[in-house]
Amino acid sequence: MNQSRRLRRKLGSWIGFGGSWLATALVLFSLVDMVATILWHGVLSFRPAMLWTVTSGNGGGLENAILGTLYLVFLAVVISAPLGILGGIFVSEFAGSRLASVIRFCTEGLSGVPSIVIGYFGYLFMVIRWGWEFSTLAGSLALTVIMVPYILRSTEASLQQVPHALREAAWGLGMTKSQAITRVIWKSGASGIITGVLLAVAIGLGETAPLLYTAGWSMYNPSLALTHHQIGYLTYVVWTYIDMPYNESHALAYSAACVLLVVILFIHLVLRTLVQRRWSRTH
Amino acid sequence: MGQSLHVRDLKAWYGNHQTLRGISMEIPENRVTAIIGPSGCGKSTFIRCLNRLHETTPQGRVEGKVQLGDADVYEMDAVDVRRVIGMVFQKPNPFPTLSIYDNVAIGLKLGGMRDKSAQFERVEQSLRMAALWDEVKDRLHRPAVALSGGQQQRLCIARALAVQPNVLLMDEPASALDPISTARIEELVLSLKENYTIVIVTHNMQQAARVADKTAFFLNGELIEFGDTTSLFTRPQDNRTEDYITGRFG
Ligand SMILES: Nc1ncnc2c1ncn2[C@@H]1O[C@H](COP(=O)(O)OP(=O)(O)OP(=O)(O)O)[C@@H](O)[C@H]1O
Ligand SMILES: [Mg+2]
Repeated sequence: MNQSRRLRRKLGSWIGFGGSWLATALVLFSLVDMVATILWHGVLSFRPAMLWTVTSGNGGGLENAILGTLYLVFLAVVISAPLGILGGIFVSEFAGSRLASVIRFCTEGLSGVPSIVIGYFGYLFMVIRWGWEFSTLAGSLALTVIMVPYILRSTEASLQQVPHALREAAWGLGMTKSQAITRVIWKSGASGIITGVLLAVAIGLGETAPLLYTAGWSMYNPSLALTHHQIGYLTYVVWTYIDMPYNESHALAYSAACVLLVVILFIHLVLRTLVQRRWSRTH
Repeated sequence: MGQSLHVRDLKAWYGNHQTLRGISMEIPENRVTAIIGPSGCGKSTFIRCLNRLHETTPQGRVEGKVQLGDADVYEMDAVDVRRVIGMVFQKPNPFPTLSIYDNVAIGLKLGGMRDKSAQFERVEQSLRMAALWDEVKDRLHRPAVALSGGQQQRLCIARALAVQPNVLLMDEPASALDPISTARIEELVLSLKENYTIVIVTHNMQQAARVADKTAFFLNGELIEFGDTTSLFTRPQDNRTEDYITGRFG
């Protein structure tokens, strides 16, 4: 009696374990397969000279695309980090619960909009209506629209995790709400905020759709001009050159994907250590 | 200098739940006033209304009047109120990202004290008063979270003292402390009353008897009895006070 129940329980837990292992293995397998394919092809086709030559014809290098991606994402971060962080602080600390939930609803809606739609809107307004043509500014602003909701939400979430007792300590000492934030609360939420910004950077680096409609493409290294000049970026190379019928184009596409992957993996590594550091500090 | 507090018909709510049902009392200046009563009777809520912290809790609402000297606390700017009415909380809450030194100095910096040596002097003095100086003087720049719970509470006391408020509200400041630190805190309270008005919440009736000039007994959000400590403990006027101090309930 007792023995059969124990057996059944054991069996049940084995089935449960087996099922979850299988599911995990499936996910891991496809992830590993994808990463391995990109790294394999990427490493085989990558030549260091790609880092200092620009794209030409069906092949060439990636210098223009790497610099372009960095420039686009840099501009987007410069715009979206202050907006997202200030917005997150506002929602968490100042907005009444009504206004806060309206803003939360809007940002969630915004992050749910397919990025190609954002790109198309950018095209209609910035490229056509405002006459910027395909340009760095149009591209970075499209990325900004995608990145702001992430930064805003992670800022808000990490501020919400700061215990209420800490705010009371600050207020009880006669700090204004803003003093409490800048001198005490902000620091406790800082690693969460940085995590959000890095995550947004990783997302910005990997975006293709919004840039296709706004940034255009250029085989030259980016100029500082914000409008009226197209700019190259890595995801364009991946997107376009993989479809061309030439080996050197494929090599370029895989190399671009590999460079992106390595950078993004690196960012996630930094994120992990940040999160772990925060965890070990609070526990 | 300490200032008196006049409380008139003070009511407080958390959402729909009323926790104070019309409290009126005169808290004298430069005296220690103890608040006693069973858990959940509204002691913390009461003192949090005095420095306008209750209204910052989500759903918190206050009605009634609190006067600090001649000024109406609920017509002053809340931030100004909290600079002159300091508070030590029931649970220690030092600023975890700041050093021990900065925890005490931050209030001074906010108040505009720029001179480093004056700052240091005040920090040392406050830490000495809170009976913490000897334990931390070699590690002032270590993070405050590295202290024990009792040390953190004394750090919070030093933090509140550093800005030299007129009134000091203490919510069970000694509940996490060992007997020796408790005794030193009680000494501190007694020595402070020359210059401060002190309101101290305590569960420990011996403590109330030792430090307080006046004692108030709260029950279910009402002030049952308020008077000189000795007469409240020796000749309580209300049966419920007598039941509580003789340990028949609560
Ligand atoms: N944040 C809150 N939200 C809702 N109700 C609360 C909150 N804080 C306290 N209360 C309620 O208000 C009442 C009074 O609480 P208060 O903290 O003032 O009691 P207390 O006398 O300080 O008790 P203790 O001796 O346990 O500290 C209690 O019934 C409690 O449940
Ligand atoms: Mg309490």
